[in-house]
Amino acid sequence: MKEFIQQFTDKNIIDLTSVLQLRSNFFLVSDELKELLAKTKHVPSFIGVALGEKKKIFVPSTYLLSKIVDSTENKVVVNKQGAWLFICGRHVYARSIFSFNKSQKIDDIVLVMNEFNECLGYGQVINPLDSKKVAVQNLFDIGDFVRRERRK
Amino acid sequence: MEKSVTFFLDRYRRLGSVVKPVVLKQSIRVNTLVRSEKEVVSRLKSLGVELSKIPYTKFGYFIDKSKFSVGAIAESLLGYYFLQGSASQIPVEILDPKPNELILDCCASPGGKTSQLSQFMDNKGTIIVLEKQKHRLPALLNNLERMHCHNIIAFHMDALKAERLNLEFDKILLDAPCSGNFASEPNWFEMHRNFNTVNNRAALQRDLLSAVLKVLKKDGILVYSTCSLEPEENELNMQWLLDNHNVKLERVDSIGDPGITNFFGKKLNPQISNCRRLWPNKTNTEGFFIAKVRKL
Repeated sequence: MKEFIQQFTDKNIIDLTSVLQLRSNFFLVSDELKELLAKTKHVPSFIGVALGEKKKIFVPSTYLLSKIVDSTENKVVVNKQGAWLFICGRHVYARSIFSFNKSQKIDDIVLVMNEFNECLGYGQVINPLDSKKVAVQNLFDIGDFVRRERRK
Repeated sequence: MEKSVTFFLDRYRRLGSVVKPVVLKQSIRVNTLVRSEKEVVSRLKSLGVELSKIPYTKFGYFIDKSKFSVGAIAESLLGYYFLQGSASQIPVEILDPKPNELILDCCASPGGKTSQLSQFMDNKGTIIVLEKQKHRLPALLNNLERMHCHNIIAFHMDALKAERLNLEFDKILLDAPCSGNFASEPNWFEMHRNFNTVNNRAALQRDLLSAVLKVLKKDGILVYSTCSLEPEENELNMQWLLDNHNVKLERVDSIGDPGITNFFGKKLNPQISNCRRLWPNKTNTEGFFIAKVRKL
């Protein structure tokens, strides 16, 4: 998780001392919840604030993405159609990007934002952002909430 | 004979309602943990979704018209609202959870009412969430994340074993597993519903009631609900509860008819009229039964 955050920012946006790992999932846990959990002597499936899950790659929670948004310049803003296609699991065409950080280069990891400045997921720059090609490869999008239930 | 549509329809008629197929409006609950009610309503309206306020809920809206499914658009995925039946928003309103209380939510998946509890508590206090069925856990955990619920500890655990948690709760929500009803399940009558299903569910519900009352603080509140229309799972279970536990039934201030106190000639405790029974034809909702129990 730490490595994932560092792709976007060096700032300490999460208090790592309050992070609890349950199997492959990470949670941010308050002292109040920790105390109660200790009383129960049981292992939970979910506690506090979900931060993400370690799979082949780290799958961040929407909370974690929202924390990263304010601390990074690595983002592209896509138009309405691009946003819809992205949350359907598709990659981002350069033509649907209407704003990006000019210092962004190939292989960079970027957040994908919609016109309302809401984070829809993230991806990797695979072609110049002002080209005519697929520019950002989808690595995670919020449509995963729907797709992951179908998978399980 | 007991399986037949006519049998159940005739039974409902004798209990107080002529039941016909109903077309339910889709409804949502705006999640103010993420965005204000005003922002969400205005955003949906800008997308061409026509909404009207559900008068008997705090944050509920009917979807009057929409050209697309509101379940998979970005606003839904970002947790701005939850697709939740209008009647199923009532139990949490009746429980009235407060910030800093310790709440138990039994049989919680898929998490609509759980996230509503978090919302009403403004993510303060704690909700202990139990779900017995492993295959229902992913949906629950998904929804807790999506709806920004931050005051929850969820266990893969049978609510019958709630005592093992070593905790005592201020309030408990028991939305019990039930035999369902035709309004929320169009093929309900064809699903081999009969009195074995109803009686098995009623027995399980009594076991659950006994189990969770053990972990409720004295003077604490338990809200019991089902989406069944069968008195065995509702009023008769409340009669059993009054006969076997030191509790009283408080008034459920909501839409619906009073709980039935005359079951085919058998007089039930008058306190049961404090419960609410939502007949789909009368309330235009899914069928529902809600009881508010205070432990004495």
